[in-house]
Amino acid sequence: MSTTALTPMTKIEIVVPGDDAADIAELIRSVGARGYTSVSGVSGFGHHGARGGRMLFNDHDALTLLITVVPDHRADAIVAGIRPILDRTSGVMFVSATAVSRPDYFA
Amino acid sequence: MTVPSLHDSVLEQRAAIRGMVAAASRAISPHYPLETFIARNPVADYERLSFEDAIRAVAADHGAGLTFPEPVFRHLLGVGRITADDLRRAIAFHVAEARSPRILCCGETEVTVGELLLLDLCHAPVDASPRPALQTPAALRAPKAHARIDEHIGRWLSAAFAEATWARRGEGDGLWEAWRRLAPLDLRLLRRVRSGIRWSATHPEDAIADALSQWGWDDATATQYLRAHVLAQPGWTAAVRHAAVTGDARMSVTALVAMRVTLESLLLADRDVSPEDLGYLGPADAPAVPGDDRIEAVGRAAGVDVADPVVRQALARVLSLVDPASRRAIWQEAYERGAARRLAPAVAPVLRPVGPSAERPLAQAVFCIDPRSEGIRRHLETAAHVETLGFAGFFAVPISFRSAAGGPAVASCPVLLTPRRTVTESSSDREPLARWQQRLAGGHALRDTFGRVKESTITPFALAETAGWLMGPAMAARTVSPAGWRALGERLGRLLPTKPATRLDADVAMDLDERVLYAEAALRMMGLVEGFARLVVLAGHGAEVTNNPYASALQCGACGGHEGAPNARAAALVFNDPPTRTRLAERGIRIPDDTLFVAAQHDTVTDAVRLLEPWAIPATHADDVERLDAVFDRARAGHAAERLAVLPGAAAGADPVRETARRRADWAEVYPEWGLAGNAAFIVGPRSITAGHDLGRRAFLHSYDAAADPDGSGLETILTAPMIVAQWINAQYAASALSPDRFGAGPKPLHNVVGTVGVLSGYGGDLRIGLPWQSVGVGCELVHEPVRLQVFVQAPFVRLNHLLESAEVVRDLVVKGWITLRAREHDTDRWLRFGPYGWVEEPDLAPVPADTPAPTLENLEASR
Repeated sequence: MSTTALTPMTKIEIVVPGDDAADIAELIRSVGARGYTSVSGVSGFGHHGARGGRMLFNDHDALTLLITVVPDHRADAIVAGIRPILDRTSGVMFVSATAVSRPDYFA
Repeated sequence: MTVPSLHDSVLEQRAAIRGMVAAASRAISPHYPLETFIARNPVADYERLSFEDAIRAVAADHGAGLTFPEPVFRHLLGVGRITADDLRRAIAFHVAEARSPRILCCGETEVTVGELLLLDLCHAPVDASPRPALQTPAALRAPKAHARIDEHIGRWLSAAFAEATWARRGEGDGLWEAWRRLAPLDLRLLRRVRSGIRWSATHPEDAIADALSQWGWDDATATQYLRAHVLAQPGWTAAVRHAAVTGDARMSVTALVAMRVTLESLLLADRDVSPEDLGYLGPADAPAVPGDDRIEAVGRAAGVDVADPVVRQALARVLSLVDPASRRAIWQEAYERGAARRLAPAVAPVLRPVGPSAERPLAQAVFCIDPRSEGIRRHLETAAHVETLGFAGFFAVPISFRSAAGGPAVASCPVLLTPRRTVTESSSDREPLARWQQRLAGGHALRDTFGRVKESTITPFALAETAGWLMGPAMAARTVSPAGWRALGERLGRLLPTKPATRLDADVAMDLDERVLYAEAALRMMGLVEGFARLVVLAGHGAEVTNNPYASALQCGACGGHEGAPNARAAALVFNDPPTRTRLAERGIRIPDDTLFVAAQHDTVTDAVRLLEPWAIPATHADDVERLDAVFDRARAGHAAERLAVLPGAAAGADPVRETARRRADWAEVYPEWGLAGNAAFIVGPRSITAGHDLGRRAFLHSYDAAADPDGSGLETILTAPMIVAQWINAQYAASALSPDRFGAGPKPLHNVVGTVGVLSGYGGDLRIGLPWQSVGVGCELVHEPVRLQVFVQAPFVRLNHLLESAEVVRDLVVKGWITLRAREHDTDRWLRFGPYGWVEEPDLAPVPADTPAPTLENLEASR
């Protein structure tokens, strides 16, 4: 299958402390997104120095990466909802164009 | 941030509103229900700020203080609890200019910046206690309407949480939908209000958008307006927050705010109110310009001529270095130095046996890090040759526990964690188990029915009317002789089928790799990798109390507000498991064949320590267990007597065992124990650095030996998990002590339990969050000392520095001033403190002699 046969979509990735993931996930669901992927325990380096790390007995403060793919017309709503939360917490959001082979999974 | 206008897409607008409410609601932490009460900083979200900035922000948003008011600090200075030297050092710690020895010339007098600031703290007119600055328009313009909104919301949420029958008519609806449908039937509301609710928007976000457009707020003031409504009833908001994030689809803070702003719009006609009047412009960041009265007071104290304009100018420059929030931060720092000095492990070489290894101890007993363990450990070590260790009471097995008694599985691990496995209790004695379960089922059915009727919001009245003739005599008997009543119940219980020997299936529920991972992590974290005794006791803890809605606040915080028995049993099973031991040996930890791990439970009310699986003790260890039981009894008597000396209502000379047993059984006893009152320090290191010191049950003690933790992962786990839980507990106690009206649950005698969600004080008002007054004070006097957690770690600095670089959760707490971190590499080193410029020595942190008596918790009159 060539990439031209794929359906364009918008991918939104959010990295937040685990404690904030529930608010973000609820927002994603509330705008009609069909699903999201959550990866806990991610780490990295950024604005506030090193983030994450090995935390055997702490899921609460481990960073969580949430990924959702939505049709373009739903992306603005998710971004509008998440921005106020990110203003009040440490976290980042990336929005990018993507393409999928089964659009009915995401629409 | 932008609030989309009504012309933008509806979907986008609703999402933006939800996001704004979610952000606003972070101003109050979720409130856990009574059965799993978890201690947490009620203003945890403010921990993203420095402690000093948080003092300003919490004062502006909540009208509450994160420290004592200045008059209390001055009183503490007067009585010697704070020393002038502590205050000088605190000034130098917070104000860079005060570290300079440079002399200021004020006319003919020479003084330093530090001296002037000291005089300022001691003599200047004090700033008033914080007042609520953030208000809703109704609170400012129409207090009666505001009270009516609060009353309506409280009544509605009481019914929703307690699931009263009339509220269940809306089952399946969310909070907003049910309210829109049912509130118009509430005849207590005015006709036009009922009509307005009926015609309000079908989506809560749209209702909020309508209110925002009516007020015409800009982005910043709209955010503050929503936060004001979120914080108008912080208790109910906190309960709704918790319900929403734990899967109760009916509940949402967005719906709660929509209800409030809709009612306000319908009840308040006056729209002539400015953001400045409502406190929506936030705390001022600029340092306060010192007033004339302050300059004159300090000038008089310094003996300078305040009529001289040059002198006045010099004083004003110095005094502008500290505003009311930084003054409080300085006082708090000075206050905490006394606690740190009292609790810091001594700087002294610890004597260790050399040559042939010393005699094996009778047992090693691993207790929870909970400060209450410190006392029983001390008495146990005095009673016999028993080594004690400290470890988080879930013993590194993050499990859900399904009891043989039935019921749903409960998460028995810190709330920081999601349980990894479900461990089930069962028995091979099928018939006795079935008989016992049948007996329980009958009892459960009776208790369930009784409990539902009792905990509902309406039926307790009917219950009292119909069952009073039966319950009355029983109540009289319980009141007159609580211990006798309990003994009678126990005797009757023995006539019925009893619980057979049971075991847990931890060795099946967790695969071998998991068992080895958790076992090795636990042993390396607490430094127990060699020199094992024949008996190693894993002592979880619980608190048996009667008629105490806050019973779970006395249970094990590391077990999610439950007793630690299941975790102790599961962990003992793992440590005794031969394949696990084989793999541990391959990894360098050899547990001798004659070492037996046994599970026990420490009752923090009575100080009884009982083995949980006596049927599992092999004949080879029966004598050891018998000797250990006698040691436990001696330690119990000693520690209970020590605790009774500081418990209210204990008669002098009372038998400690009988008196604590009475407190366990007495349904009118509001002081069964002191819980974690007084907690102030978290000490990470070998027991040898604190053994022999009476720390007065004020320190979380986590055993650690750097040599047993070659890669430092054990230390990382300690500081990113148990220390975090300790900080939550410490902050909760401080908040309940400093702002009992806002962040505390009020006096126990007034408690009116609402289902399982929480308590009200009397008939109505906001849901109470935090701890009851009887957890932190007596009468009108405070017993708990609200100091931030003083953390002492004995570990290599290279590990700590790496940890501070890589673990943001630890770094933030330290750098932003929510905990104080001190460290040293060896027991002969002085403690260094992590400050704004790295590690610095604190020469005034002198060692305390080992024979120092226990500190008596000071009774401080908190002026509120």
